Amino acid sequence: MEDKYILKCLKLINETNIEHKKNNEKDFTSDIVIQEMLKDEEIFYKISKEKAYKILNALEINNVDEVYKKLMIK
Amino acid sequence: MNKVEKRKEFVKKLKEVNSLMNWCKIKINPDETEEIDDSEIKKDYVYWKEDDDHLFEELCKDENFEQLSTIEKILKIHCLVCKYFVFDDFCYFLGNYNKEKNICTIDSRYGRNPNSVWRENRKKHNRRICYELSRYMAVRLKQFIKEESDIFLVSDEYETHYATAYVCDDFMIIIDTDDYWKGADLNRVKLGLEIKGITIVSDEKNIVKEKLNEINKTRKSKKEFEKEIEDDPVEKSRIEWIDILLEKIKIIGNDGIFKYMYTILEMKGYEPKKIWEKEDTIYKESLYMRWNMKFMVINSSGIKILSDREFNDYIHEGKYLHNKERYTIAERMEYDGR
Repeated sequence: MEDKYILKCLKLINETNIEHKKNNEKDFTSDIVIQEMLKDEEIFYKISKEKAYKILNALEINNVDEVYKKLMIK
Repeated sequence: MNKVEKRKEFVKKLKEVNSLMNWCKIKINPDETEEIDDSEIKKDYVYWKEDDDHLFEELCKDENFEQLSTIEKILKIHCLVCKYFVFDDFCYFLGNYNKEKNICTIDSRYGRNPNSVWRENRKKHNRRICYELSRYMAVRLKQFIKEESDIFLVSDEYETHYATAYVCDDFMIIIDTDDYWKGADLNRVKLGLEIKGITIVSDEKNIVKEKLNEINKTRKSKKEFEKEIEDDPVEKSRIEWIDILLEKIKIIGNDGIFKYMYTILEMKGYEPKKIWEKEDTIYKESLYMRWNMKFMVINSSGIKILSDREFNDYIHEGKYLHNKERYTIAERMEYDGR
């Protein structure tokens, strides 16, 4: 269930980013796109590694390799 | 003056040094063969050994290093040590505070008199306390500075803190990487703040004083830094972000702080650690992490930013605990250095 738990963390980060940007009157369009993608719990199994890394980098994850590995554990 | 006489002079001069550390004793490497006839000068508990880390690889190749003055070499080595290592703040939770003597001691197995397993395991990470840092500094100073000198360790009366002493014809100084009172150079150097870990015991030609003034002109004071941080929009933004995250996690429930906040902070590159905050009979799951020159504590009550002193005081008072049974961690702990 590690992948589900990590996905929940990413959703929390994304929601925080949206609220933080709203509060500071910054553009959060790209964060909404990510939010939609993260609604699909299987998303990281469906997209390429390259695309997955783009999402993780957009969420400003520090340890992208480690997080990606955990996401791919089923 | 021979080595023995110089050491006695050093101990004598320590009484004149204005420091909250109350330095009064010398510790020497146990491999020294000279007879000691001074009660203030004793052999250390463990041999000071060279570590086979890569920290000083660049310095070995630096052709310009030899052209530097002695004090410049010392400061370069001091800064390298401070940049790489971090203070092992877990030791705060092991402290036994004696109100009468106003001192805090920890088990000697935690770095002061460690076993070989401890020493091996410590090589796998960069967390250290004063005993380890001062020995490491002594070894590196001996390795890289060929000028004639005497290098040993200093401690207070109860051996609650160690630092490294460097004595040569021109000056006598104490080099402390984690001065708790002034704010450790372990943090200061990383943040570009003034170096405060050098205590002058004797400096008749003002060599050390002038070099420190010169270097510190290019570095910020702690006050300047804290004012900048206070006004820094990036800094405010970081805290605001964590605050928003905390509100979302509180909705999840009681296990959210450890389960989600901890993981998310790690994902973002922070180094959170778990503790408990005790209020009367209630224990709150909490996290703490280093935040610039201070500590940030996060739990369901919100975010607090505390100085080292405040954080440590709360631990002494029993407000912050490593686990719910405060004193059993020290008793049950395996002192293996991990």
